[in-house]
Amino acid sequence: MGVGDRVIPPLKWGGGAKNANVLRQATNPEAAAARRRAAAAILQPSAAAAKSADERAISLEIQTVKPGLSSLCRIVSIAGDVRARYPAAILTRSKGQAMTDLDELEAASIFILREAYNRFDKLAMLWSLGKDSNVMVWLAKKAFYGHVPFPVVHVDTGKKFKEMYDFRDRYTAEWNLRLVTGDCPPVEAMDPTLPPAARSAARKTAGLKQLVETHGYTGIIAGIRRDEEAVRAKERVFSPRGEAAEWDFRNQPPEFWSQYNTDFAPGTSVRIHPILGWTELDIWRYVRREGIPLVDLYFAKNGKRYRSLGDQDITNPVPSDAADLDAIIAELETTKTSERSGRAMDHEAEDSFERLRRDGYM
Amino acid sequence: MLDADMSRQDASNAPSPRDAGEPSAMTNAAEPLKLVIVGHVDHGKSTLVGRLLFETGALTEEKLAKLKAVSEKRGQAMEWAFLLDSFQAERDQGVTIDVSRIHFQTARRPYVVIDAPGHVEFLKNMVTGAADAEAALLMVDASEGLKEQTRRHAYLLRLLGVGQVAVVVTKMDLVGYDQARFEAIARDIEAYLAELGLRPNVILPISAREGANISEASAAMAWHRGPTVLEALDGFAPRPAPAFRPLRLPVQDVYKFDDRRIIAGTIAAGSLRQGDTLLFSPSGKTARVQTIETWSAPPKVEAHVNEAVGVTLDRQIFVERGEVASHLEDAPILTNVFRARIFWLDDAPLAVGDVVKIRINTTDAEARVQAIERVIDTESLAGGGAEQVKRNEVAEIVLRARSMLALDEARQSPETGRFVMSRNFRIVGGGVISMEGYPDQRASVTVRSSNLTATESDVDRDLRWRRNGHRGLVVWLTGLSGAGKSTVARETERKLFNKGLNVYVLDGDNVRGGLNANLGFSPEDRTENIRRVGEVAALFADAGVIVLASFISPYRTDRDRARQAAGDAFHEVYVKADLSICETRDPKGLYKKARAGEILEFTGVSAPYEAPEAPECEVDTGRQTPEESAEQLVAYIEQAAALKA
Repeated sequence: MGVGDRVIPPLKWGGGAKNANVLRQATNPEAAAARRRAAAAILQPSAAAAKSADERAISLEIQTVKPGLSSLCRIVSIAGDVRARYPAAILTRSKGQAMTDLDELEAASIFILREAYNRFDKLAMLWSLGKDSNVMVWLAKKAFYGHVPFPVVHVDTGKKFKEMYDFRDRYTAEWNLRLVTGDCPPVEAMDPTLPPAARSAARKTAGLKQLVETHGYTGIIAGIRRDEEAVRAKERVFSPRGEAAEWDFRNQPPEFWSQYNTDFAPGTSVRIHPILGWTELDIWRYVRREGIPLVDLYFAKNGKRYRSLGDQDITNPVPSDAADLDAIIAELETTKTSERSGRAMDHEAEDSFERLRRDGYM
Repeated sequence: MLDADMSRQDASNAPSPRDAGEPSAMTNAAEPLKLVIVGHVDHGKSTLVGRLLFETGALTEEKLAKLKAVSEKRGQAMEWAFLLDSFQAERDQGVTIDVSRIHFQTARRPYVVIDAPGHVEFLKNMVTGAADAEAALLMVDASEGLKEQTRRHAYLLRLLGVGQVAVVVTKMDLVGYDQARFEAIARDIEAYLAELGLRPNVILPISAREGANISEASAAMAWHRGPTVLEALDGFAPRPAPAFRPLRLPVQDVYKFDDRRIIAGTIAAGSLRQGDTLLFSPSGKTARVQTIETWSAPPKVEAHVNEAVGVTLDRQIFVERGEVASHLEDAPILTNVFRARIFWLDDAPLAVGDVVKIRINTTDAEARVQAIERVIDTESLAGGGAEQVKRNEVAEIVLRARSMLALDEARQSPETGRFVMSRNFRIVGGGVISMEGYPDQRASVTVRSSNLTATESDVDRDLRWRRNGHRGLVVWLTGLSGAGKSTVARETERKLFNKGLNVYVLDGDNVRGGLNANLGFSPEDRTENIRRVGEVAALFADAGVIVLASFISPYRTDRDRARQAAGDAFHEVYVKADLSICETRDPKGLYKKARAGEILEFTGVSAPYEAPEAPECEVDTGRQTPEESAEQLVAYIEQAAALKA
C-alpha cells in the first residue's frame, strides 16, 4: 500500500514543537514572545489544567519565583522542601506509610526477579554465601512468597572459609533451596598473563562457564552492585553475554523506564542483576531491617573483620571494631575506604578488573 | 558465637522485625535523588561529576590516590573525568561510552548521579541514564555554546519526562569568566528550552576544573548572584509517586506455588484495598481482591503505587501476564491503534509497514508502523513527513497492533502511557502515547449483558435467501466525504431494485436522525455510530436484504468490527477519490468549514482516514462518472449475491 492512499493530518498533541515550528517562520518579535508564552504554558499549565494533584503540587512550586536575582538566574522551581510544604499524603498516598528508600529498592528488585522468572526457562541464582547474595535469596522469597522457584548455584573454588560452607549447609535446608554446586578448574588452566590474584579469581569464571554448560542455564541471577567498582557501574540489569560468556560493554542494549529487554536470540546467556542499584550501606540496612542471617566473618573479632568475602587466599580482613550490625552501619557511614579494598585482584593493574569482567567474571 | 548470632538474626520463620523499630542512626535516610548529567560531547560532564564527588567528600582515599596515580601516569594534572571514565577504552579515547552511577551526599540529601555520554554514537546510553532521572543538569561549554547534542539531549529530556533541568555553563575559565558571554549562552538555551515547553530551574556559570561555583561562590564570577551547583541540586524536588491517579496494576505473572493463586505485579499508579473489585483489561474480567499477600512482613489490607504486590481473588478467573488491573471506573483505554512520539536507536531505520515488538507495561504485542507523520529535526524543531526514521532521530508515528491493548495517554499517565520497541532481540526505541483522533474502543468491545441466550429461529438464513433468489449482503462503502459514496449507493440501489432485488441503503441521513441521534462526531461517538450501523446491517443481511451501508467510517478497526458482525456476508467497497478532488467537489461546503476551523475533527482535514488495505471492491470515483461507478458496483453485487448451486 502506498503512502498516498492515506490522508492523515499531522500530529497536534503535545503541541510545543509543532507550534514552535509554524511560528518559527514568523520573524517579528511579538510572534517570538507569543511562541515562548505558548511553549511555556505547556510545561506549566494553570493549576486547573494540571491533570493530577501531584502535578498541581509541582506546578505551584514552579511558580514560586525568588525575587532579587538576576533575570538569567531565576530560581524558579522547586526551591525548598516540597515534602515539608505539602501534606505527605499529596506526595505519596492517602493512608499508610510512605515507602522508605529500602522499600523502593526492595520493590524494584522484586520486579526484576519476577521478570527474570517469567521470561527464562532455565534460570539460576548465584549464591556466593556473602551478604549480597543472601539479600538476593531473601528478596526472591519475598517476590515468590516464601518459595525460591529456581536453583541457587554455588560455584565452589574449594577455598572458601569453613564458616561459609557451614552456613551453606544450614540455610540450604532452612530456606528450602535447591542447591547446585560446581567445581572450578585449577589455577594453572587460567590465562597466565593475568596478575596472580586476578588469575586466581578467574577460576570462578571458568567454573561458572562449566556449570552453565552442564545445566544449560540461559539466565543467571547475580548479586553485583554498581557502587562496588567503577566497571560494574556500567552494567545493565539484563545483560546479555556472547557465546563465550564475554561482555560486550561497548555495545550494550539500552535500558529505560524499567522495561528490561528479556527477548534474546537462542543461545544467548543473560546475566540478571536485581540489586545493581543498591549500595553497600543499603545492603546492611536491609539486612538489619529484615533480620537476614549472615556468615559471622563480617563481624569484627580481635580488631578485624571481612567487608567482602572471596577466597581465603585472596581476601584480607580490614581493621575494624564493628562487631554487630549497628556498628557496621555506623562504620560505613563514615568510612573512606572502599568495600573491595580487601580484594587483592582489584589493585594489581589499572584494568585488571575490567579484563576479568569482559571475560565473564561476576 | 556463630550459632548464637544466627538465632538472633534469623527471622525466616518469625514476623519481620521491621515493626520492632530500627535504631535511628541511618533509618531516616532520605531517598537519593536521581540526577542525570547530559550535554554535548566534551562539554565537561564527567569532570563536573568528579569534582562534585571530591567537594562533597564522597571520594575514598583509595580512589583519590588511584586517580592521582592515573592522571600522573598520563602526564596530566588531576583529571576528574577519569573517575567515571573507568573503562580503559574510554580513558584512551576520552569519551564516556556508558552510563555510570555514582553516589554522593550533600547536607540535604543523597544523590545518585547518572553520567550520560554526550557523543551522538552513544545516544542509547544517554537515554538509558536519563529515563531514570528525576532531574537533569544540562552542560554547555562556555567556549562553544549550544551544540547539536545539547539540543537533542534537551529534547529527549522532555520526551523522557524529566521535567526539572538546571543548565550549567561550564569551562567559564576558558572565556575569562566573562559575564556577557555567559548571558548570551543563557539566552540561547532559555529560548530553545522554552520552545520545548521546558523552563530551566536555574542557569548558572561554573568552572568544574577550577572548582568555581561548585560548592562555593566563585570570586572570579562575583557578578553571578545565583546559586552554586550544590545549591541548585538541593533545590530540585523529588519526583512524587503517582498515588492519586486511577489504579493501574499491570499483571506481571500468576503464581501457583502452593494452594494460593497469586496475581503478581508492581502497582504503576494509584492504590488498591482488600475487597476492591478489579477490572482486568483487555479481557474485561472482574473479581474482588481477597487478600494482599506478604512474606516475612506484616499482613496488608491496602497497597500503593510502586509496591511489588501479589493478590488473590475471590473467584477463579483466567488472568495472565499483560492484563492491566484497574478499578471499574477510570479504566485504561482499549485500542489497537495509537499515535506515538518516539526516539529510534537502531542502526536500521524504521519504515512505514515495518513490524516491531512493543511492550507497554507488561503487555507484549506486535505492531505495524501505519504512518510516519513527521521526523523532527531537533536543531530547528521543524519536521515533515518521511518514509523512515533513522537512528537517533525523533519522530511522530501511528502504530497499529494485532490485538487490543490496554493503555493510557502519556499526558494523563506517563508511567502507563509509554512503551518500548524491540526488533531482533534488542530494544531499539521508546515512545509516549497519544490518542488524538483515535477513539477509546472499550465501549464497543465490552459486552455489557452477560445473561443473554440467543434463540434460534426455525426460519433460517438459507430459507430466506432461497425465497428471495439472492443472498443477503452487507456492502460497506467507505471513503472520504465528497468521494461520492451516497451518490453511488443511491444509483446502485435504484438499478438493483429495478432488477427485482431486495436492497436498502443505510447512510448518515437515515441513521443519525433516529437510531444514532444521541451521537456526535468525537472519535468515540464515530466508533459507536459505526458499531450500531454494523450490527443493524448484519441483521438486515440476515433477513435477506442487500444493504448498502454508506459511511465515511474512517477507522479500519471499526470496519473490521462491522465485518465481524456480518461474517461472510460482508463486502468492503473502497470509494476512492483523492482528498484534493473531494475538496474541490465539496457538495455540502464542509471542507471549507473544516479548513476555516469551524468544524473540528473533520475526516481528512483534522481527523484521520485509514484507507482499506484489502477491500473486496474498489470504485475509483476520481476517474469514473457516478453512472460508471454504479454499474461497476451493480456487476460486483450481482455476482456476490448469486446463490450457489
